[in-house]
Order: sequence, then structure tokens, then C-alpha cells
Amino acid sequence: MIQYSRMLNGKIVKTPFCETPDGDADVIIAGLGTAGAIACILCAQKGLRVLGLEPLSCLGGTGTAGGITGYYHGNPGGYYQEIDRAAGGGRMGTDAFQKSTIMHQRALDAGAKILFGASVTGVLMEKTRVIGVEWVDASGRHFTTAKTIIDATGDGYLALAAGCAVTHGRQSDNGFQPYSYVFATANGGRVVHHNIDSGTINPYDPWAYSAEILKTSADEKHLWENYPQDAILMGFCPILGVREGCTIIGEERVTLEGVTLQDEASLPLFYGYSNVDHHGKDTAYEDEAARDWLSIAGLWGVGIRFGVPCGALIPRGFDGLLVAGRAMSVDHSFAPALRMKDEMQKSGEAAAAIADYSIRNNLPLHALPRDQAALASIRDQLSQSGCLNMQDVPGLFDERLKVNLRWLTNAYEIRAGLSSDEPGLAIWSARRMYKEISEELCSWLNSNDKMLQRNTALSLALCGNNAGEDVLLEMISDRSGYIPKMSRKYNPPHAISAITAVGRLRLRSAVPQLKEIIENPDYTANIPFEADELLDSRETQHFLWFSASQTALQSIAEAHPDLRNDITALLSRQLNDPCFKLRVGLKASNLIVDAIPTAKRVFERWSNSIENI
Amino acid sequence: MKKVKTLILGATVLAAGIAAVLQDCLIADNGIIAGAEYANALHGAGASLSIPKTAEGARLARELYTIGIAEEGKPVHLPGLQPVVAKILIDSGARVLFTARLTALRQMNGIFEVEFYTTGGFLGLQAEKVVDTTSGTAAHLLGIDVKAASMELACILVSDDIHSALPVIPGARVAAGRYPGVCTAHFPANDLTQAQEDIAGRIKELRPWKLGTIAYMLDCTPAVSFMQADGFTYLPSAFSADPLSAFERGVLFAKGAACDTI
Repeated sequence: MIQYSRMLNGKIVKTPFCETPDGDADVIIAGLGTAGAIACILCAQKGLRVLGLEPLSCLGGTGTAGGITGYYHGNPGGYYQEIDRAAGGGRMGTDAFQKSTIMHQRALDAGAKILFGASVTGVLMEKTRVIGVEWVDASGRHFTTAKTIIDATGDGYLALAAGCAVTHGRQSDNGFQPYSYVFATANGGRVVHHNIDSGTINPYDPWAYSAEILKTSADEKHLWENYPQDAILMGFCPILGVREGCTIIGEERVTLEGVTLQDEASLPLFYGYSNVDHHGKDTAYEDEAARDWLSIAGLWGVGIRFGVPCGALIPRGFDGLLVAGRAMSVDHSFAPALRMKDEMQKSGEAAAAIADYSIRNNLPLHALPRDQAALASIRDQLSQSGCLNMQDVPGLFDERLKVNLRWLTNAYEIRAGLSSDEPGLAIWSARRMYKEISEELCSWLNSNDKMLQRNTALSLALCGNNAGEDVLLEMISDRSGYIPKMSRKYNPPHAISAITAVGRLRLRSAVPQLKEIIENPDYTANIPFEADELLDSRETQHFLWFSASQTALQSIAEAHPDLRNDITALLSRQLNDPCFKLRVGLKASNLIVDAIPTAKRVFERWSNSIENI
Repeated sequence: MKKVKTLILGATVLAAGIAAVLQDCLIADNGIIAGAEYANALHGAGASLSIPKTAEGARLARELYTIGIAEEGKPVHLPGLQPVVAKILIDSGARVLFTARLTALRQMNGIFEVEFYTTGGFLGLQAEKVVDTTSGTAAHLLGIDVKAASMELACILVSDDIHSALPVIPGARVAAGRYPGVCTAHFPANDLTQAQEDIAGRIKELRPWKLGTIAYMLDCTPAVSFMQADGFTYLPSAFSADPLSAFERGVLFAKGAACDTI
């Protein structure tokens, strides 16, 4: 029996489908944005019957209509480079309309049917197999069936409608990475797009989404007191610069821990490159893996080359559906890395290759990740355009010094790193090597080298070892404001690393200090700092200390039930005190925003969850 | 099912005028740009602000003059309208739903049953009254035939030489902009994608003028100023020649003025 499944008033609703579909295709691509446009062209060029559905009036999504015309990080290589060259552009930027026009023409030349102003609104399913879509345009509602559907909506709308398992942002409050509302100005005849963080947004709650758009449209970044003639506003992009939405749980998953702690598990279809480009300053509210990488090891600035396997595009337990673009199977902690334009376009190319192989060989999608012959064939196809470079291997890169890095592999190197003021690589390498060097690590706690002592304590914390407890407590009380320099920016103060570590270890001995940080709004007033992009103001400094302490206290309370009432009462009292101020700056912006709503939301979700423990 | 008294289709400049008075209303728009018919489609490009007739209109005019996107006797810099219209909507307290595609509209027993497709999936609600301020999205669903007097696609052109003469573009209407070195060009169009691609190709020939931006929606000038039937009003924002007139039509409509007088 065929079922029609859609999201209605926030819930999945399935009803029997008794109508006759309007048409049939080999592949339907929902969303012709950064990934979908490439998938559409290549599926058609492979001789498949393609229907491409796009709500806007052009191809390319965020990379064209969305104003993000250049590249940031990413691992170049693939069909899209041919298009960039044809449009007269490259890494620094490609004219949006030239690029979308060329992509449109290539898709049409290859025989694709493209419909603009068309929104995909639901799916047709036979049990767990997606066999078609519902879509609407100016002429009404339509149903089209297909052998394979590619969800390139960016936000996984089809995957959600089909009932695929997804992760919805971070665990603390389901929050996503900040978004931008890109606008263009003309300066001396030259058009410049401005990509400035505007706040956070939930793309799945239409009321909250709309309120946020309205708010950001009228805030001081966009509503100016005086419109100057040397930076003439050209207008706002018709789509938001959303950095993150839901991601599917795929047959395989790209995770921060998997990429940084384990050897490559399966042959990837392509490689990506980025730092973990976390845009928020509320790292304390992120998932543990992100807190480990960003706050304890301070590795924000380290670039990672990583593989994306076939199964990351295939929702687990479903068939007939591929996901290309941001909604691929990646954990929230690594989502800031797997979203760069190169990789989004590569994912479109990979989706086309997977769809083509599956259809031609009559194989279900979910079987492909374990089919060596299939993987070899798809990889070979992707290597022809450079989407997959067979010479690529996982690796690290120092964006500051522009040199390759590698994990440290012996105690001597690790000790030297931990003794330095750039300890991040050593901290993480120690975690990778823990089984081999745990005894030596513990012995370094007794060193007279304070830096070695402190960074060792952090390394041990990452491994769940509380031998450095006293050192961590000393680091928290240190008000020197010392900041290690591992990354080109976004280096966390050492005290923040220690607070995060005691929370990870659930150390009750840290509670008095953490309570003092929560209760005393002037705690950080005398901690020196030089304003940088992370610590842009005293307010942000206070926020970093407060949020790290809040999360640490919540973790400690989970592990020590006798402390729960006291900690809960303290946080509740402080966060509901109308005189209490908590504010934080947005990245690359002069805006400082009220952080109380986020802190309260995280606290309330946590306190509701521990009632059930 | 959620019920609203007044549903306004289009987060248009006229809708902002209604909201400024009515306050308790729901405004739904297919896109994300407040006042898009002027700010993005560049309807009324080349026109200066009309003389306000209402207190609300006078306040809006003052704000536009103060921030510099309008000047007496000069064309309005239309893209600058969007943040201003957004602020009016916020201050009005009206609820706004963006990226809401109208997929169904029926009138049954005096109540409108409405369905949108939004970023959260389908959303249904009921409305006592519906005001369509767009080029006729709702009217068409109700079987009311609304025609456009003209349809154009606009673009903004910029030159680094502020003394550049306005370009002559065969088949297009060119209007001077608010600032030197800025103008707009308007091309007859009925297919948005085709028109965008054509303009992108043609502008290369117009040196020293370069493309600043191309609109993402057609500028549809309606043939009639209003239609009304049984709780439904078609009152297109783009009937007005300038955004202040559109805003004031909304204000007067919300105050109960008959449509044929505004």
C-alpha cells in the first residue's frame, strides 16, 4: 500500500495514497541549491530521466541567490570547478547569475526537466521505501514517482517527512549554529556581499523562524541610522545563510570523534577540509565532543581533511532516498566542518553517482556502502572529475602557520607539546595514545613545569582520568587570564578549559569555585584580557565563565544526586533574577546580545531531564 | 485549528500600513523580505515619495527622509525600505509568517479555511477575513481573476563614475536612482527565470554600468486597485506608484475607509 507522508502542524501524518501520480522519473531532486544543482546536471548527463524542483527562480541556492559566492576552506575538486571556470570565477567568487544561468543551461542541455517556483511538500512511500514526492507550484498539487529521490533541500525536509531518524542540533537545547542574513552593497561600483552572523534560528518552527527574520531585518546591522553613498545597499538575499539544520542518521556517520580519534573506517567517496568552524561563543552549551575539541584542547583553528563515506548520504533503514548537502549524516559537533561549499557541491556529485549506480544495477541504496564493487565503481567515477582525489588521505593543517600537522605519536613529542603554549595537538594526541602513555601522563603531573602540569591535567580529563584534579582546581582559581595560542583565533582561556574539564570529570570538589562564578557577576571583572574575536568584551568574558560553570555544575549534579537541589536552586535563582545580566557578542559583528534566554533554555531542559533520573 | 480575525497575504508595504492600525492580524508571505514588492521587485523605481495624508504616513516619510533613503523630489532608494517595513511590523505587534506558501484557500460558512506550506510543513488555520495585498495569490485560489496591467523584471545598475549618463537599453525602461552612479532598469517579462538570465547576459554590454542586483520577483502592476467579495478583499500594494501611497492605503483601509476612496 502506498502512503502519502507529510509534515502537518509539526507532526508526521501518513494517509493512504489512492490517487494516480502525474508523472514518473528516474531521479527527482528536491532543491536545486548548492548540492542539488550539481546532482541534477550530472544525473541528467548520465542519461537518467531527471525532474528538478526548486522553490526559487534560479539554481545554486546559498552559493548564488544566497550571496555566498566565494569559497572558505573546503577541499577543491569536482565538476563544479568546470562551472565556476565557465562563469569566469573561482575561489574568490563567481558571479551568481552567470553561474546559475550556466548550470540551468547544462541541466537543460542534458535533458533534465527543471521547474522553478516548485516546493516539494511530502513523500510517497511503500513501507520504508520512498517512491515519489508531492510538490506544489502555481498550477496546484502534483505527485511524481521516481526510482530515487535526492533530498537536497538543505534542511532534510523530505527525510523528516519520510520519518527518517535525524539529530536536531545540540543536545542541550536543540540549538543550531548561527545563521547570517546576507546583504549586498555597491562600493565604488563594486558589489560586495556581507555575511555577518545574525543570531540563531530554528528552520523547523515557522513562527520562531519568522520572528527571527523580522527581528534581524530591523536590527542595527540592517537598519542603519544613515544610508551612506559610499556603501549603497543593493538589497537582501532572498534566502537566509543557514549554517546548520537537522542531519540524518545515515548508514554511516561522520563524527568529530570518528574523524579525530579513529583511523578511516571505510573508503570515502570524497574528502572534505575545514576547521571545526563553530560560529557561536556558547561552546559551553555544545555537545561533549565539541567541548572537548574546542574548549579543552583549543583546536578551533586546526584544519582537518576527512573522508565522507557513501553511507553518509543514505538514511539508515530507508530506501529510495538520498540526502545531499548540509543534512547528510554528520554529528552536530562536526557539522560546522562538513558544510563548506566545495563539499556541498561534491555531495551533489556523489549523490548523482550513487543514484546512477543503484538504478543501473537495480541495487537498493542501503546495500551500497557494504558492496565493494559498487564503491569501487562509484569512486572511480568520482575520481574522473577530481571530486575524489585518490591521493587524498586524512590529515591536519595549521591554518596559522600554513603547514601540515600530524598527530604526535610518542611520549617525548607529547611531553614537549604539553610543555608549550600551543598544547592543543599534544592534548588530543595524548588522548589518542592514552592506553600506551597513561602512566607517563600521570607522572608529568608531578613536574615542576607548570605548563606541563596543567596541560597534562587537561589531557587526563579528556581520557576520563581525574588524577589532575588538584591542578584543574588551581587553574580555575588562576585569574591571570592566560590563553594558550594553538589556533589563529578562538583560543579559550586556560581557566575555561579547566572548568570544562572538571565538568567532564563531574568533580564535586569544584562546586564551591563554580558556585562563586555563578553567584558573583563581577567574578571576571579583574581578570585581564585583550579584546579579540572571541573575547570581544567584558560581557563576553563574563558569559564564557558563567556558561562553562553552568554546564559543569549541571554535569556534576547529574553524577551526584545529593548536590542536585542545591545546584538547581542556585542556577534557577541566578537566571531568574531580573537584575542579573548575561550578554555575549556575535562573531564578526559589533552586536552584543542577551544570553539569558539561551542560558535559561539550556538550564530548564536540563532540570526537566534530571527529574526523570 | 488556529483561528485569526484578519489574515493578510503578503508582508507588503500596504500590509504594514494595515498592521500599524489594526495590530491584531496575521501576515503571511511566501518569501522572507518585508516590503519586497518595492524593496526587491523595485516597483515605483524613479518616483519620489508622495505627500503624506495620514499621521502614520507622515511618520514613515520622516523616518525615510531622516535615514537618507528618500529625499524630497528625488527617487526613493527602494532596497532601504525592507528594514524600515520590518520595524513597522515588529512595532505593530502583528504576527508574521515568512516562507509561507499558500496551498489552499476555501470559504465555508463564512469562514476561510487556509493552508500554508511552511518551513515546518503544512500549517492550517481559519480566518474571518482575508486581505490579499500581493499580485493576486489568494484571489486566484478563490477563482477571482485578477490581471496584471504589466509585468517587468527590474535590476539595479551601478557605475564607479558618478557622472555616467543613464544607459540606453532597447526594450527597457531606465530610471535614475537616488544616488549618482545608481539607476534601475526595467524589462518586460513574464517568466522570472528567463528574464533573470537574459538580463544577466545583457548587462555585460552596458559598460561603464555594471549589475548591482537583479530582482528575485516580477514587478506586477495590477490592473485594478481593489476587488471585494464576502470577507475577502484584494488590495494590491503594487497598485500604488510609490511606497508611501501604498502604506497609507493600508492605513486608511484598516481605519475603515471604503476601498474605492483610497
